[in-house]
Amino acid sequence: MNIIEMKNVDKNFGEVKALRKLNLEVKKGEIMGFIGPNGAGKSTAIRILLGLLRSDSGSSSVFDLEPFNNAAEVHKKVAYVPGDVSLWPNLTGGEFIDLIGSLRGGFNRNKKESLIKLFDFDPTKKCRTYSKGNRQKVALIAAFASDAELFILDEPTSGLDPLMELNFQKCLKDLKKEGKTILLSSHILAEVEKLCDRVSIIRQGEIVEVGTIDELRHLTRLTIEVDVEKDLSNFSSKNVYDLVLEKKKAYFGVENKNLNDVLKELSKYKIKSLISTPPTLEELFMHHYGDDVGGNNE
Amino acid sequence: MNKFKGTLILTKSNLKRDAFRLSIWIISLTLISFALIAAYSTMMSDDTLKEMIIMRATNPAIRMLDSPSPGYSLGGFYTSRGSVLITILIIAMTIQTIIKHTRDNEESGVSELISSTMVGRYAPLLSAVIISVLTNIFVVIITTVALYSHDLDLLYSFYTGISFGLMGLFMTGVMAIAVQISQTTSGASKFGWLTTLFFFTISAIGNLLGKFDPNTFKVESHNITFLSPFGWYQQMYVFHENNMYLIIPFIISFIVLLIIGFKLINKRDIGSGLIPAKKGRKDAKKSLLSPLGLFRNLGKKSYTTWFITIVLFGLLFGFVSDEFEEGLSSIEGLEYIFGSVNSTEYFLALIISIVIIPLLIFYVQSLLRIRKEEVDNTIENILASGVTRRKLLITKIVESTLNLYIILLFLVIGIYVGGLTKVDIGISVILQSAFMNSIPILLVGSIVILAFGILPKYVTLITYGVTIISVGLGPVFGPMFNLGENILKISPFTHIPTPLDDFNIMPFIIMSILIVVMTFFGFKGFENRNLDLN
Repeated sequence: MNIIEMKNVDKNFGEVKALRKLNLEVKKGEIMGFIGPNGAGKSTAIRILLGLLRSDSGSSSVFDLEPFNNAAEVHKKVAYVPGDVSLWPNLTGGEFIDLIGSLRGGFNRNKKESLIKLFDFDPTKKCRTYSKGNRQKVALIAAFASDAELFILDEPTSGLDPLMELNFQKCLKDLKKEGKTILLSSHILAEVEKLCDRVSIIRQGEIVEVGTIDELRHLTRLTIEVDVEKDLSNFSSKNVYDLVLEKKKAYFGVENKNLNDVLKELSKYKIKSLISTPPTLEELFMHHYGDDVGGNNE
Repeated sequence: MNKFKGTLILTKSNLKRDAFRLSIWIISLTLISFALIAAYSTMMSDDTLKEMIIMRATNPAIRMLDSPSPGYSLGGFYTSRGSVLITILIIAMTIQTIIKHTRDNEESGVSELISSTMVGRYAPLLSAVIISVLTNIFVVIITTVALYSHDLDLLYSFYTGISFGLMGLFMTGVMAIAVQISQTTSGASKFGWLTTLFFFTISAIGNLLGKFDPNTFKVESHNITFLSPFGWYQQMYVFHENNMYLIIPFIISFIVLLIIGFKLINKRDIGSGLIPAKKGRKDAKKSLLSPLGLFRNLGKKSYTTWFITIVLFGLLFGFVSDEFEEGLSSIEGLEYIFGSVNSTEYFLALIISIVIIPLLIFYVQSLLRIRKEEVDNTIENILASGVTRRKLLITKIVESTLNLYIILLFLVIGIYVGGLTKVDIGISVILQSAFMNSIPILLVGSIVILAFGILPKYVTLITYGVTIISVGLGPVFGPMFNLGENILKISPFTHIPTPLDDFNIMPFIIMSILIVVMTFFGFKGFENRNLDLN
């Protein structure tokens, strides 16, 4: 069952095309990584899901409800951590957490206390005095203390130190155990790789790849290191990239689908050993963005 | 390292960044100065000017708001009638300028960048002060040229310019301290305005308690006015007495304020204020935990400030009421201007239409708060937590309107209690008059709601535009501009019957319909639009 569904969603801000025919599905109980560089349209997509923005065309649903017209109903089951957390400067962190909790219709006070401890957070300070990391903590504690079904987290760890990031990952794993659904937007790929069941890669407002990380790996280049018996010096192939040749050794990248052809060509040189390394998510990502990381503005 | 190092470079770059805003100010001030003197000079041909001086000097409310009349002359009339408007604009410009180049930069982090470069610790403030002083020198020039171009004496025109520029100088000093003390832009701005209000009230009381001589056309103020910089420039009585020695207190206070301001820089960290942030509550009070609770909390400070100011205003008016009644009846020829009206009722109508102005400003500011939440992105927190847009907007309107009527009620009580033993007016008459005047406030409010719904990007501009028009063309200021009755009818306040008029229900019916319609479309717009988030 899909908790989130976006089909062919377009969103323009004047001349700027923020989303083009965006498709996104998040199944119940999974952690979906939503990755893309700044300005690719992640926050815009999320704000449409929350009913804060209205899409120009296409359809969206959250818990089978159209989010713009049913925003309040949807939000009862959703906890949201915005990318850039804005707090009321005169409220304390503790007050903010309580307020958001009760607006949503109740939250778990014990959870709040234990989260405050876990994140080593001082809830008595006025929000205006918090650093970026601490503002992030306020929003995270407010979200995690709720008993929402769906967690939409927009770059939630920017500003957290590595220790707090570990705590964040622990929280997410706990949520998954409880069967909650999570949409995690991020550009910290190591985090996504560690936590997510599936990944959607967004580029200039459209999803360019979806799948498990394993599935995505098959779509891209492998890094190959090969030792042969004969002299390789004049080896060349239209199927390899970034070729580095030594006398009897070669390093290169190859698309999965061309692997067989390349191996055939190489076999003429009598392969002695071969190491094939699957791409990291980072390489995957760069594969889609390598030429122009940037995208348009959100 | 030299603490003033980099001031010149910083000033150049600040001027470049700020050129647009400053030129808008300079152009506006130029236009206003020329427009005012042009308007006044048309009155010189006949006795209109004499009648105006008498009317304004004998009207208690206007006498409070005017600079005291120095005598009968066009230049004297300009300083008496135009100077308060112009000095308030100069003060607004000065407050904005200093904040922009100090607190604003600190809040946005620009200062951190600047301080990490080779720029001395004092340079940002000094640069802000230099820019402010430069703009005020412009004011001197503008005023001189404007008056001289209407054949007024060049030296006296220059004196007038000086007297205005000195107010800017004084405020520059005040703001140099304000931006050190307060931790936020809005705090510094409030500090500036409260200081202004405080000093203005002192000089207003001084003028109020003064004496008007119908032979020389001079208002002799009470000496209390010398406690206020407004008093200093007003008591120069340019074009008549030219007491230019009053430049001295301006210069001394400017230097002292500036020294204090610079000393305070050493006592604080960049980005923080002198008044430290207190430790707060770990958990929220129950009363905070709803949209209404939130809005009440967010508006608490501003509400309290307005409440106290407005109610004190009412008390003060009530308190001085009998002096005016006497003052009014003792002046010969008054019937000619007022007709045979009961001066008590005239006075009441006047008071109500004056005190309603701060109430209007309170109300639209309170409504605009929801726009601030949107611009600051904090609205996202509420609207992503199960609160509908409709509920949020209703809550804001209810909260603002409730506060409006609470202040109104206490204002009425204030006027009544202040004038209890002196004036023979029942509280119900005051209440009625105040209530009738609250309907135009709601009307302006509904324009704010409509603009927020359908033109959110322009709502602030529209709000202040509409507010200025309805106040400017209303019964207090409208008659000053000699614009003709039909133009004054643009202001909803013009349509409210005073205790002197016959009661007419039509304006109220029309306004109520407009309020409902505009509020309705405001809701429609807000519920169907994109949030304007960053």
